[in-house]
Amino acid sequence: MEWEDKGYILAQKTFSERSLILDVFTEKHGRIRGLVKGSKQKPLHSMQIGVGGSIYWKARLETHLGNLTIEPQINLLPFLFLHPSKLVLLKSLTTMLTFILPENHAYVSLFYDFENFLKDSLPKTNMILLGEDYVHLEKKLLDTLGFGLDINRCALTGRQENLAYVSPKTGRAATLEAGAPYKDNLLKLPDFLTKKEASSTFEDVRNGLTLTSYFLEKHFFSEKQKIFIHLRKSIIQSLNLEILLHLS
Amino acid sequence: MSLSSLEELIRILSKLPGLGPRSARRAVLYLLKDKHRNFFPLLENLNQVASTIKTCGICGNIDITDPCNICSSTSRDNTILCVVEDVADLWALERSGSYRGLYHVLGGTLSALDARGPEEIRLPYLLDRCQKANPPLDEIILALNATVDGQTTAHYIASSLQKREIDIKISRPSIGLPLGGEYDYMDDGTIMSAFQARQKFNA
Repeated sequence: MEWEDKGYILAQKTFSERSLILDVFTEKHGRIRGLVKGSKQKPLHSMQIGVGGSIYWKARLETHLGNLTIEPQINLLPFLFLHPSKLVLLKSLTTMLTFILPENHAYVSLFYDFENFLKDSLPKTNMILLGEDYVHLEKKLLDTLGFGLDINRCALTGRQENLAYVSPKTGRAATLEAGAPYKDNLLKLPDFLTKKEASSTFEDVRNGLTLTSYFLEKHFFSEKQKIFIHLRKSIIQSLNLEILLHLS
Repeated sequence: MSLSSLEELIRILSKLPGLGPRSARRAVLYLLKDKHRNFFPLLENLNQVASTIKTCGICGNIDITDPCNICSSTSRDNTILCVVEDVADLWALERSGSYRGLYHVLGGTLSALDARGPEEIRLPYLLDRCQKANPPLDEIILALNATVDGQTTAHYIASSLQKREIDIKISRPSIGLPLGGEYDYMDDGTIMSAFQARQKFNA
């Protein structure tokens, strides 16, 4: 069987001397794996994480590791190499998608959000807005895989205004007043996740990342895979204020 | 030598980089053609290297002595440290003859998918080495591959150095056109990088 789709490289692993095994996030087929054969005449150095384009996949059976051909059309890397924070965001996101998304299962809406993040969010110069977009995408990832946060109204009062906390147990929101007695045990909910016109600070972005980190860790990463969450946290922490101010 | 041990030898050789079963068979036949000139010297060398080779406790290079020749050399500039991904990269830099400082071999890049964290790439040791260097280091060159993994690791090292308040100049080799390269054959990314890292042209 064979098909053509569009997609972005999520991860790559060297196979033999010149070939690569790629994980690609495609529009209609979700995350797929395939072998890209290289040669002396056809080196594969352009097959980097985040590179997007037309994908051709061919195998005898759907469950086989197929042969991939990629015609790169979008390559953000040269631009990202100059922006460390953006590069680590891309790496963090692609690693997480490789880790979490099941193979051969289409997530069209998530694919478009991911594509928009690469095309529209990563070029943003305001790092706080970029951080917001990143948190939104992680929240979307949780929603898509069935672990969505219920942050539209307060679980205790039913109110939709002044939401400030999220319960780590239920993933449901609480208002500032209702959550106050339990605030030490609750996760902070930044305004930008509930209001469209909210103006955020770096602290809000950090709170958003802490929130999504908690639920990603809870639902997807077992003890064995702690290294992933450790790395991800370190990477996110490297987005320190100096870098943000420098880039914004 | 039984046929099965011969087959085993071919099988082992065929796993080496650049060799397949066919070329491994040819190599074995060549070695056996003149055992005294080809096979025994190779055997002797393999034995010697296997029994004497060591990983340098300072930089991670492989050599017959520990510390390696580079770390123990008095003619090298010990105020510059170049961080590379693996030994092959160190050898490539040595072949070029363009660098006369010290090295630090990470042994890989940070990779959550491969469960390689800061400890696995000897990052805490690198930070200690930078902090306690005597004489103090003036510059650290992050010569990691121009890949997402390589550059993410480079940024991670740079931010770790800053976090520890180690005051060293941090640099990296430029990315751009290779020698003898023609624009017509370059990919867009390389051209863009080359233009972004353009330098003053001295007439």
